Amino acid sequence: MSETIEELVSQEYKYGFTTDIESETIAPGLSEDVVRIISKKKNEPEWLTEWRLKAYRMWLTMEEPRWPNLKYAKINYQSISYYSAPKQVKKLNSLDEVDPILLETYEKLGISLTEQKRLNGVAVDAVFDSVSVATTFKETLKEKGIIFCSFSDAVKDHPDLIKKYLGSVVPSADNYFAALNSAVFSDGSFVFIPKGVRCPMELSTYFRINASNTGQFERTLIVAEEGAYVSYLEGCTAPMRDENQLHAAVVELVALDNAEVKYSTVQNWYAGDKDGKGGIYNFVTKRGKCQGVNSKISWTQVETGSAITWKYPSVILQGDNSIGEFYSVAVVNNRQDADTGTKMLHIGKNTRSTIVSKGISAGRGNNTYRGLVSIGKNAVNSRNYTQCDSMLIGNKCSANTFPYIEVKNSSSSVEHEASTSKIGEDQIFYCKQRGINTENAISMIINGFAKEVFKNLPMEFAVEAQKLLGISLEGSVG
Amino acid sequence: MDEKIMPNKNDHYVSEFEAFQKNGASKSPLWVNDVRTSALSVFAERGFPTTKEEDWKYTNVSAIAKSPFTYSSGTSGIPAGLVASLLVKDLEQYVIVFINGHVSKEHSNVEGLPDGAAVKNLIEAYVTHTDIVKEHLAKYVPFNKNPFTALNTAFINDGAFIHIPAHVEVAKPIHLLFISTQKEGKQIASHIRNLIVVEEGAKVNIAHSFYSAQANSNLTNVVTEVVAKKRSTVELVKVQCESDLSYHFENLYVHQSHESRVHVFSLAVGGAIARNDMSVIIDGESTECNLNGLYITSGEQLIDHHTFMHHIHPNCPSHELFKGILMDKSRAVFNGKVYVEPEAQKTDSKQTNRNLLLSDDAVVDTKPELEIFADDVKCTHGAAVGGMNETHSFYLKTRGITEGSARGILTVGFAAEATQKIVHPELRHHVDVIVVDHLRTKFGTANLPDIVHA
Repeated sequence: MSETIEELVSQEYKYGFTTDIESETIAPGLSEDVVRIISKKKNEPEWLTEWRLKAYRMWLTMEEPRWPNLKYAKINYQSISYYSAPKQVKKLNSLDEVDPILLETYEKLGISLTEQKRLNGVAVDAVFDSVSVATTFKETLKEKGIIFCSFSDAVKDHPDLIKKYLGSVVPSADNYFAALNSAVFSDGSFVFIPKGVRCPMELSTYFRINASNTGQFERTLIVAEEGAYVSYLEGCTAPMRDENQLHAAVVELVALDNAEVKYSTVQNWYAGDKDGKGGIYNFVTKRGKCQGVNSKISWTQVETGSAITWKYPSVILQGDNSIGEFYSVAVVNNRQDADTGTKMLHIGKNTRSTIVSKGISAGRGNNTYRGLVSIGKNAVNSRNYTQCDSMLIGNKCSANTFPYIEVKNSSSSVEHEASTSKIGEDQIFYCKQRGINTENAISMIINGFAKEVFKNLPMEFAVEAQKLLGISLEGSVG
Repeated sequence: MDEKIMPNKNDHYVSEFEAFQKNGASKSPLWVNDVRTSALSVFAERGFPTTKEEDWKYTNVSAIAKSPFTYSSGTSGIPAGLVASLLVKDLEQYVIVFINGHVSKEHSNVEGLPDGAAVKNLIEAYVTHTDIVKEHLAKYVPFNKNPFTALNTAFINDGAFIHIPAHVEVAKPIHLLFISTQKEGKQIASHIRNLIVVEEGAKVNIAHSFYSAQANSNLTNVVTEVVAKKRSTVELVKVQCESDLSYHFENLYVHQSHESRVHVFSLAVGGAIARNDMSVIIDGESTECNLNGLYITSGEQLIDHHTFMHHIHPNCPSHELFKGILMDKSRAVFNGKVYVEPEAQKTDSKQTNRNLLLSDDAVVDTKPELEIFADDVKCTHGAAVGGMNETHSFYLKTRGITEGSARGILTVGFAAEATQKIVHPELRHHVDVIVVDHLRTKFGTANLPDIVHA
């Protein structure tokens, strides 16, 4: 059994190629001037340049957090290039004008931008290094009043909305990486669903880091007005490189009265090789605000990549009767470290939250769930249910759980359950005697373990996620 | 005085220490003195913890840092009949009493102990059991982590010493009774140091009680080291009923060797701020550990439990159940950590923390942690916080029971699940009575049922 597994484990990261494309990259280093250059390159208005500079000055006074259960080499922020863009001369009007090499890259990743046009279903915004290269279905969405475009376009075309919502959920001084992102963010996606509109298709952004020595700092902002609904998907990959690359993104979600935002991520950044060399440092701040009554925000994440993951998608349950959900599968193998979880901050009355976290540790991976459930004094009749399950494969990995529970009223109820288990020899034996080979048996058991989360993913993604999980873990069961 | 000691924010304790060295500490051996000095320098440097430290995030001890507690160099008088009222009723027991941290021989009675067994105060044990004390005292609890332990270690002087020789079963429970009392209107600090060594195959039940002689705002700062050798069985039942104005801290450290069985139960109802740090080091195969507790808070009390279950070896089950009942504007903190080393395969660990909030102004902060490095283990933990179950109280009301009584009955039932974990029947009954009496006072009704375990 272990041989098959060995074979599978040694499988290479299949998205590890680089694309030879001419790009414009500014020299490594970070200073006020660099912030100004980024802002200037993007033709940003004065207020945004100032907003960035304020964040940068704030960042200088902050310290990198050391509390996570993560071990990684110190990051030299001066050796990173903060802006890299595929060279483009003129503004693109349609996909046909996109550099064919770029399109080819996305084909390779399985994201066919051109095909997406024909196939009904998903509208894609592709971000290559720091810049959004193509957004599909823009027109179709426009008819409904939905805005789905790159962040830079939004700054130009919808400055009022950006001004109103940028930093309203994750203030620039929120934490070290959020401040850094606020200062140097390059691009990202902006989604706006107007009042009463149900977005007819899944919206998706694909992030790709290509150039070396660069960091990716994208910024996503999703606003759902009263009664609106949107489901948003995010996927990411990067080439295999020996050095570590930094990814520090900020995602902000706003749900007004009766609105619903569903955000799904399949994160498959390059995780480094089996000795822990290279890989992406994924330091992401994701937060949603259920601002209106009866609003709902749901996070679903499948985390299989990155050398280091530091990520706590959270929900501020401000509106009465609002709902927050967090479904997560985090897989670590080889030398990966993940410290991830969620925060559910209950402020409004009758607010409800559900947390389902499944951690799978293999190799020498280190997996940590860190969560906070805070029920405020005025959040009467609120309810939280948390379930954190861990699965360990081998005894060189670890699974840790650090849930914080703070309750300040007596009408609410909070439940937290956690368990740890392993894939038993007996389980595998049972499958084998039914004619299922070891490999399939393991994949079946793991998929069963993570099923609760997968069922919350949109269909297209669920299939990809299941496959991804198989690849990440293959060979780690002996 | 050692130059390393910085005489600034904690200079009160540094000068107290100097006085202590001159007076009370002279009776202990030189090596103890060395430990004291290094512990004091740790404390002098660190001072009392602040809420910025993760371990003290929810427990603000600034009130203690501000109060100049005085070290009491001897015992004081206590009301006649007090000791008798605090003993386990209708049960023969060995008793050793400490007043403000110093042994009171007149109230103690340990006659009839089995041959070779010792129950005495530490100062005496320095002389009679030199080797055992030297082998174990201050060898388990690290004093550089917890400032209260550092302070206790700096002031190591007296406390209880129990030594049960190999294969001796002590039939009657041993009752360690600690009474804190006012003295000349000052806030007294008692730094009590207990050492319990249970040799191979021995068995003992210990009651570990803390009371205040009157409403006082003294500080009781205890460190208890329990050494359970191979195949020994130890039960420790702690009852902390100090005054609501007082401050109580105990760092209980249990070191278990293989095939030993340890049962610890902690009842905490007293103290303005009270904290129990309970660590179990499972340093042997096939050991079993049960760590249980009940806390009842009211007024503006804060009661904190921090537990640490360290699984080092394979095949060890550990069970934890902590329940809390909160009233008024009180607060409770629970932080339970289970740590499973890579070698500790087949660990079966279960941890549960349940809190019943009886008031909208009460606050619970709970954090059950798991850190697991072995794959073939069964580890679960659960935490729950909630108010009174209205369906249950409705059921009782349909049977003609008033709202108030229904709440009382359900609260007693909630508590009983925890006290049921006490193994020794008389000690269990003793705790049940204290719990129900306390709830009767807090609910303001005598109309609460007694606890009867099936």
